[in-house]
Amino acid sequence: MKPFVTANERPADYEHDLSRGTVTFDPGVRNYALHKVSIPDGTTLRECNFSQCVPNTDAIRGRNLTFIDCNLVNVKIDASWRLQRSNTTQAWRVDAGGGRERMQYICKHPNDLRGDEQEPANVVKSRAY
Amino acid sequence: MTLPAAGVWEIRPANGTVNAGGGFNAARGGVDRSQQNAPYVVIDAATITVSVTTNVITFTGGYTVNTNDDPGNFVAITAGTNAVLEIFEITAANAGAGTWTMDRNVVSSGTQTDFTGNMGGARRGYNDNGSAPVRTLQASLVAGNTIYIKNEAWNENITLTVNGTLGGPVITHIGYNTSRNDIDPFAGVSTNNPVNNRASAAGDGWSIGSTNRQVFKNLNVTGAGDAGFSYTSAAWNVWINCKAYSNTNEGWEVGASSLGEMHLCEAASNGSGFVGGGTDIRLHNCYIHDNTAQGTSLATSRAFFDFCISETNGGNGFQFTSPNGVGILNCTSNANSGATTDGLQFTTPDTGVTVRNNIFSNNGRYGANATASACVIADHNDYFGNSTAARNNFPTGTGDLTSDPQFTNAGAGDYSIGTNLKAAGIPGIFPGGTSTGYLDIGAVQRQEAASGGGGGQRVIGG
Repeated sequence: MKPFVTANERPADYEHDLSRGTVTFDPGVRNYALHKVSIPDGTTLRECNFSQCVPNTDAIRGRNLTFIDCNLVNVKIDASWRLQRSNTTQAWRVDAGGGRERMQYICKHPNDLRGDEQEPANVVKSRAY
Repeated sequence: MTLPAAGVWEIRPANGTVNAGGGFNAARGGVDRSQQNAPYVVIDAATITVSVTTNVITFTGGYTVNTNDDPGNFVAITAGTNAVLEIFEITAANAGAGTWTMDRNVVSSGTQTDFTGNMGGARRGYNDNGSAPVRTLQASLVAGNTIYIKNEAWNENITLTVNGTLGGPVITHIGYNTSRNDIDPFAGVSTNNPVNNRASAAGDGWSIGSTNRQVFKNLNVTGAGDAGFSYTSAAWNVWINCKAYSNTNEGWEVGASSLGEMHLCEAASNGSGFVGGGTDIRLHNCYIHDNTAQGTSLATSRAFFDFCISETNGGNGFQFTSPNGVGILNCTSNANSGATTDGLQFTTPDTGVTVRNNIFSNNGRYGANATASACVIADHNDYFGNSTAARNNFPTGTGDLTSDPQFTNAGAGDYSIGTNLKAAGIPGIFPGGTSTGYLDIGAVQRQEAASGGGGGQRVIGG
């Protein structure tokens, strides 16, 4: 099993460490964080990680998906999806000092975003690698 | 007096009752009325009425006191003129007089007849599961208490403030499925643990802060807008068979100068796994996987990880900044993703750093990487399939291997190994040569000699 991103290989549309590009869905893989992925319609996903760096990111393509116990932080939610016990928090990724980055809470769901939220001064959206 | 150290609390997050008595002290010899959903006695100033003077509650209608059964049960006082709105213990009961004697004064002055309250029944949570109780369980705890939490729908931000005591007693939080102690915390199965599902709400699942000497068993937390468990305590807290998953930030946020020990715990699909500062951190048989960033990242002096798996995270499998007195033994770090991601990464390691019997495989950059190698003692590690190289600035041991670990099914989380690494760890022969054993490389042991057959060992499973 190889990781999606290595020092030598990465998706063609890889931008940087916090936007890692598009990968192919594999039912045996559970961590798609910071990637974009297309999932067959009607698929049920359990304990998968799709979290993104930037709020309301259009990261997952697929209709009538069911997410159970998944991490959907900062993911744009499609109306056809069924969510069970999944985290839809929207948050800024910020520099917390001491070399740490953390997520700063905005709201529970992308539908709760007003659109005029002010980015914190220490927001982190990209990296050099 | 205060509530007793021997008190045992019952939480039923969905079916318990707001403002229930919630607890029992078996030393009084009564019958435990907390292990039921509803209160056993509801003092409502209508059907059941009382007259209260100092620490004595006298029933004036609606309930017949039981001399033998009532003592030891907790009573939550919810209203009344000059009432002390806290939770009390019945220390004695007198059927003839119709009285309960409580552990301390229930009324601040006079004799009052308009009291309401509840004896028995389970609480709905530490904070009554999002309700607004007159007196919370979390504010009523006493060192030595045990809190049982039943596996029911649960969502609350728990803020602990009461410490255990040096030399004992500690405060113990135990999850169960259908009856107390029905989950073996060392069986490594968390599927029947109660789950504090924060449902994307702001804040942590468990805000432990600097509260110390707590033991957590069989408790899951998910969906927190911040961390699953967050603590900064300067005395030991211990987690056994707990799972933090799909939380926005860390599964476990470890504050600076914290002490903590985790046995058979799982951090999955969080923002990161075990991350923060920490003075003494020990991870035994833990499973850290599929987190957005690092599996573990500690700025720490003194840490000890053994038989842990860190895999498929979006950052380093194990990361330490300025470690000294750190041991990484028999761990597996596999397929951690990222252009600068290593299986193990040390920044400015100090003395006393030991790395042996580990598997570092298929990671995004190096198997093991350090900014300086002089202080690191490393040997009998297996490096396989790491993208850039096995090591960078990291000592090579004479017993190191570069063999395929032959994981049984890494994609499904089965990190049991094939025969390439069996009995390849140290020690084999102990100093003096009088004892010989065998230890595999990696977290999951085959339990067999290099030439023989044997059993197997499971680390943990969801």
